[in-house]
Amino acid sequence: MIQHILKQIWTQRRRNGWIFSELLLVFVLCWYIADYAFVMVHNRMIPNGYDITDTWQIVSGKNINDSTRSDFDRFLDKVKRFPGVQHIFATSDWGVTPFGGSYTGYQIQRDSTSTGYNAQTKRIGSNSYFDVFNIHSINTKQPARLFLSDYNTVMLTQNLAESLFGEESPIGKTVYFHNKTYRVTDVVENQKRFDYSQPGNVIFYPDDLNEMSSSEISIRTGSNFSLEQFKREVSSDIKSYRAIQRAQEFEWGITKEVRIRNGVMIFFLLNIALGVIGTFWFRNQTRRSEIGLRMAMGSSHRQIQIQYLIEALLILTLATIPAVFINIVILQADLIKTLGQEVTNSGYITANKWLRFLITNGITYILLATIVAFSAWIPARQASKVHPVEALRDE
Amino acid sequence: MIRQYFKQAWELIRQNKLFSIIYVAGTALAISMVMVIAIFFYLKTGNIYPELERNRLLFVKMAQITPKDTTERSNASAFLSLQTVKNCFYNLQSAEVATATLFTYKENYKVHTLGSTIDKKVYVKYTDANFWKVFQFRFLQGKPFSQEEFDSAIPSVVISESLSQHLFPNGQAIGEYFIMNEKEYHVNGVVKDASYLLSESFAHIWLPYTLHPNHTETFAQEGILGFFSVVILMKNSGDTRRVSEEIHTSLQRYSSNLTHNIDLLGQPDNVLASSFRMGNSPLDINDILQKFVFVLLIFMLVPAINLSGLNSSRMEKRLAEMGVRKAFGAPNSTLLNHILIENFLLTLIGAFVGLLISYLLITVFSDMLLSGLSILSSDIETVTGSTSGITPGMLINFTVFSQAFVAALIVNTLSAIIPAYRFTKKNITDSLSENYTN
Repeated sequence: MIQHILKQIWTQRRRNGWIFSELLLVFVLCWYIADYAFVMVHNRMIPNGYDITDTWQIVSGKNINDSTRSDFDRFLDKVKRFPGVQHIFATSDWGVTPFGGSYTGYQIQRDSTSTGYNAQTKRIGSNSYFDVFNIHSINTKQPARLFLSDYNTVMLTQNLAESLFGEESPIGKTVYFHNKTYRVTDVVENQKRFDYSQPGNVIFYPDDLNEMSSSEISIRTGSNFSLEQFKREVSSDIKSYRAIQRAQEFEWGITKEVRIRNGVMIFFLLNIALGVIGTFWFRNQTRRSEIGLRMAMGSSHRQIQIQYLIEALLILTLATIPAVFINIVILQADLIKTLGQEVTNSGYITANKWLRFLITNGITYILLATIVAFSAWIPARQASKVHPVEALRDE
Repeated sequence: MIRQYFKQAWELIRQNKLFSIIYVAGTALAISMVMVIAIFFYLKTGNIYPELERNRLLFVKMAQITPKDTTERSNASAFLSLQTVKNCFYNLQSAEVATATLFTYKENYKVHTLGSTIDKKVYVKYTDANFWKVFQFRFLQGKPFSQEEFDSAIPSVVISESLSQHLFPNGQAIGEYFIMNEKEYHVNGVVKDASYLLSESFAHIWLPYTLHPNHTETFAQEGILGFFSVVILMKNSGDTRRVSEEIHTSLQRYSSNLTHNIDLLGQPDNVLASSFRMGNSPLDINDILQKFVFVLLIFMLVPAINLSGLNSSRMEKRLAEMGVRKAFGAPNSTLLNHILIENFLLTLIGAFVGLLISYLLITVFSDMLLSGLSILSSDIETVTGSTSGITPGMLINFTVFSQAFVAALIVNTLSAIIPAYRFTKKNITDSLSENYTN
């Protein structure tokens, strides 16, 4: 049967040429989008290294100077004593808490002559930070702890520790950045800066400046916390970190990028659907006599439908072959610029070029096959309703 | 002749309803995507109230400083400090005027009138007296705050029409007072509402930045960076190079006795480039535009292939008609023109439907155009007020229509030219033969 259909496809190659070239083009384009989606979904599934459930941010917006410092301390105390507040952390550095808009980074080296790695540096004034966000030490499996009394100590994330020290334990050893030497006291879990990115290198160190020029307060709450009551009694400027995450992704255009890619994908699939329906519907008219003949010779309705479906899927499969070759060319030319590409740790699937290629092409093929099959089925049903006598009369 | 073509085309449409529907749907898909992009660019660059001179505007939103001592490797980037603005931008000779706006990160502003306690959240803009020369607001009552009021930090502000109606429903707002975050302000002017899609000019309340306690604050070393962004109105739209050179010379002079270099990373930007700039990420506007052109081509090409296929099938049926006409002496070009014009009627209908779909998409997804403002405001709701921000004038104007028409022409040509060419070239005897199969 397949050979027969292939022969038919070949004899009608002129007519099939349009739908073939469209499927080819759309396969390549859809693969590009599928690759992005794959990386995105993969990255989102990597653990964040921190936990933002039941965490809230209170921004007082007021500036703190010497005269208002006592007011701020009183406010902080009021928040701390509110029922349901388990941990509280205050900072004026917007790069420290998750989804903060600012970023401070330095090159980290073992000493001033060895290879440097870029890392985000987070200056932490209180260990409650690690309690609020549940950031664990790899060694103790408990919320991490900085040696706040010693300003020359740091904690590294696991990926940075591995880059700098390889298999050896970094604890007790020194690192060098921003013209100072620090001693490593612990290693913490990898931290993702954004939900959709892969973890980057992060360093935590004690806050030696102790300025408090504005206030961002983060709290972790328990089950007895009432948001409404807090808004009424303490402050209405409270937001959950989940809401902040969504807002930040929106601001940074990620929500937009995802929506656009979804929209473009739908656009292409709609085009394919229209194209396949249109092409096969015309076949109904030009092939009436053929169908009538088949049915007179004993073909059932179902077999006519299946024939249509197989023909459509075969054209897709034939178009997939050159499309995959084009995709290989695109891959080799490094034209794929998807998320997380810059920080590709070889531990992730997304770094394995060919496995990722196989998976994403597979996803694209299945997606297109579904659309093609569905679009061909509609005219197929119409065709199978042809009465053999009517059809043969045309002959 | 053309009239006859259209009459015949209309008849054909009526007779082949299915084909026409699929064809119109395919064209509508193509045009809708193309027009979404076209409207998107129009919103970024068109002269829309209150930014009626957008082609004469230049933007400097941030700067990056690096130590002159190259052994120290660090950099910092942020907005500009007041000092930098005063030394390098306010005194520009080659431009008409420059305005500076203060960046307020997620500050909450609530207003209420003296008698009431019900708060309304608003989005405010701290700016200067020059702001009103750079943008062309329509004052329904009163006037902008003056340079003197600005210098003396007098709490005299301008509010939007809708806020005025909310606070002072009896109409008269000039000279009236209201409370915002426990401070008193009085209304100097009321302007026609601006759309939040134009983030450079939008606010509910505009007030002098001299009123903000932190406007002299700086960020990082040497007081170069701070919290201001600058918009410059040039004398002529062609002055970009001159103004840019003057700015860079000014900055050189300013940093000559400092220990850091100031880098504007390619700014000053025109309105299009500025709308794409995100923080200190490098901006290659040509690269972005190339990508858009590529995307546009794809959006037209894929449906065009679809439509070509449909046209091909349709033409087979009319082979006999063409054979007869050729036998009677019609040249190929006449037949070709006939097909293209006939096709165009369908394309126009598809384009119209596509344009409507693009309007729908833009309006529903208008929050995606918000990116600039969403970073500044404490929440999106305050800014959008649950409106879409799209005014009819943004969608229905000559630019948009003419671009839709051109897009329709291109799609029409792309989708009809190859099948039409192939079929009109066919041999007369082949066309007339009943047994002819493709």
